Amino acid sequence: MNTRFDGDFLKSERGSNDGELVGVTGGAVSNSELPFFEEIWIAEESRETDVAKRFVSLYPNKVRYCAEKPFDLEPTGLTKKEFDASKRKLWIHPFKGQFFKRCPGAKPNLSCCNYFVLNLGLQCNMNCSYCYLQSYINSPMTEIYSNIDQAIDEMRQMSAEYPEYSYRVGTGEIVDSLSLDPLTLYSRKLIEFFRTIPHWQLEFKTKSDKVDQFLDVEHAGNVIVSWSVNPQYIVQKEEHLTASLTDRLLAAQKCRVKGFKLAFHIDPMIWFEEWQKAYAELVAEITGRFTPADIMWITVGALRFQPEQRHIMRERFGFTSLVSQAEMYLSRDGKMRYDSNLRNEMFQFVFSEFKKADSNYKVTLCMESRESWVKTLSGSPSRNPELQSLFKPIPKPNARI
Amino acid sequence: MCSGSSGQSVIDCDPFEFLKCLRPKLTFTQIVWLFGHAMELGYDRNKALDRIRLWDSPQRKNWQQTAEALLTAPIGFQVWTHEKACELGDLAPLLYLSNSFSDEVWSRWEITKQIFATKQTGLKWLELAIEVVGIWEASGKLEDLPVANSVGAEGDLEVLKDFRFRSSLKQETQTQAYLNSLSLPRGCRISLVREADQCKLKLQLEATTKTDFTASLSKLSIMSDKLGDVFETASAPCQTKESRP
Repeated sequence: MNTRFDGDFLKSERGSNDGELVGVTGGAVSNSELPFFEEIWIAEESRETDVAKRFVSLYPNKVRYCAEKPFDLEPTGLTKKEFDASKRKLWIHPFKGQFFKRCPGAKPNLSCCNYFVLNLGLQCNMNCSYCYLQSYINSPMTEIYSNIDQAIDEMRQMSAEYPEYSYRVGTGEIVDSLSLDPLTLYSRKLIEFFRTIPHWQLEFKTKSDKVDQFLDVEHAGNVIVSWSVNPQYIVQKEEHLTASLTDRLLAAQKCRVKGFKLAFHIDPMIWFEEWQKAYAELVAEITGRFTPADIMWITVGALRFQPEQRHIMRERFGFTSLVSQAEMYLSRDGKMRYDSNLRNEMFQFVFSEFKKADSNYKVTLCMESRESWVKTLSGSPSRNPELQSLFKPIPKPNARI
Repeated sequence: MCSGSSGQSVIDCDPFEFLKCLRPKLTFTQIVWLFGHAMELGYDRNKALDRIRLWDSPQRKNWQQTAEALLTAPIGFQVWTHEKACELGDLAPLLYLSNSFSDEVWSRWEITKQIFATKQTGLKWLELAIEVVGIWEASGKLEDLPVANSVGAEGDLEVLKDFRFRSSLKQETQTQAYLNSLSLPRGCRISLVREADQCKLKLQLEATTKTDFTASLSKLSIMSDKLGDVFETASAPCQTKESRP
C-alpha cells in the first residue's frame, strides 16, 4: 500500500538518435537530456506560438492538439498516483487569468520583501519531498502557458503606470524557473524585456543547472539567477531529480562570468542529526566560490507545509524522509513548522557562518514571522540597514493585482 | 419493499443504484463492506469502484485505496469506524500504513482500543501510532518502542506523543528542570507553556502586600539574566545531543 518514491518515474527521453535538436530561437538541447513526457497536448489556440512549435520540433511523435482541456478538472487535490502522473503529462495552453501577482508571503503576520510573482506554468519535473505543490495543484498535467507575450504586456503596463517604482519579479513560485527552460526558452524573452525596464529586477529561481540556453542573451544587469540550495545530503535524500549541489554552484559560476547577478535560498533548512556540520559546509561552499559582491541576497527559511500536505508526503515518500519524521507544530499562520526556538537556532547558525566568512553577505529570512526576525537579526527587516531597500514599502497596486 | 431511484423494485434494479438510494443511511464503512462483499460475489472490481465513486462522496479521491486499506484492518477497528461514522478523509493515515509495520500498529490497537471512546481520540491515536511506528521502523529502531501493554491503554497515547515529539519534549523537560532549580521569590511560580510552535515562559506572581510585591519584583529583576538564558537559543541552557529520530 505504501509505495515509496520510485526514482525512475521521471526519466530522460531516449530518442532513436543522440544528435542535438536546435530550437526555434536557439538553445541546443541534447536528445538524451530531454525530460520524459508520456503525453504532450497543445491547445489549438497555442498552435502557432513559438513554444508550441519548439515542442513539436523536440517531441515530433508525442505532440497532440486539443480544442478543449484534455482532462476533467477535479474540485479536490490529486491523489498520490495522479500527482506522480501529472509530472509525465504536459499541456501547453494560454493562461486565462492575470499573470502578475504579489508573492503569497505578503501576509499580515509575515515580513514582506515586496516580491511579485509571474507564473508561466504549473508543476515541476523535479520531485522534492517537501514540495508544496503536492497540496496545491489540482491539475493532472504539468502546464506551460503559451501566452508569455500577455505576461510581458502586463508588466509593461505596470511599469508605465508606476514608472517611479522598482519591482522585483520572480518566475519560480509554482514552477521551477529554469528546469524546463531549455524547452520553452522563456528566459530569453524575459531577459530581453527586462532590458527595457532596467529599474525592475527579474529573478529566475531554480534547483536545476539549466542556464546555457540564456547565457548569450544581452541583459541590463537586472537579472538575478538564484538557486535554492541545501547540503548534498538533503539534495540526495529529499530533492529528487534536482541537480547536485556542485552542479548548481557550477551553473551559478557560469552565470557570474556572463555578468548575471546571483542569489541563494537556503530554504527549506531541514533538521537532521548532523545539520550544523552540513550547513556549515554548505555556507563554506558558497562563500568559497562567491564574494558578497557576487550575491544580491541570501535568504534562509525552514521546513514548513500546510497541515493537509502531511498525508500525501508520507504516502509518496514514506517515513524514511526527514520531512515525514520532522517534529512539526501548527504555527499561527496555519502552517506546520519546527518549534520556533529550533528555527531560530538554525537561522542564527547560518547567519553567523556567513558573517564569519564575511560580514558583507546580505542574509535575510524568507516567509518568517516578525518574532523570528527579531530573534535572528535583532530587529525587523525595515530597521536593518542592509535590508531596508528590499523591505521598503512600495505601492501595492491592489486594484490591479 | 424498497424501490430504486427510478421506481424499480429492488430485485430488478442495479445493485449499485440500490446502494445509492441507501447511501444517506449508510456509513462510509458500510459502503466499504458492501463493496467488499460485492467483490466476494464476483462483481468486476473496477466497474464497481467506478459506480461507487460516482455517488459515494464529494471527496472521492483515494476511495479505493482507503476502502482496501480499511478492509485489511482488524474487524474490530472497522466496526469502530462504522460506530463513529468515520468518513473517507478521517481515515487518510491508512493510506501510508505500510504492510511492513501494519501488524505492529494493529497489535497496539488491540491493547489500546478501549480508549477509543471518542472519534477524536481514536483518530488522533491512529495517526500518531502510524507515524511513530513508521518512523521507528524506518530508523530500524522499532524494538526501542515500549510495547503498548507495558504502559496500558490510557498511557499509550501519551507514550506515542512523547516519542513523536521526543526531542522537543526532552528539551522542554530539561528547561523546566532548570527553571525549577532557580530560587524564586516567595509567591512566584514559573513554567514553560507550549502555544503552537512556541514555548513561552509563564510567570505567576502572588503578593498580599505592596512590600512583598516590590520585593518579589526586585528579586526577579536580579534574576533576569538567569531567566533570560532560556530564550538565548533552542539548546541553552539545556543542550541535548540526542538526535531526533
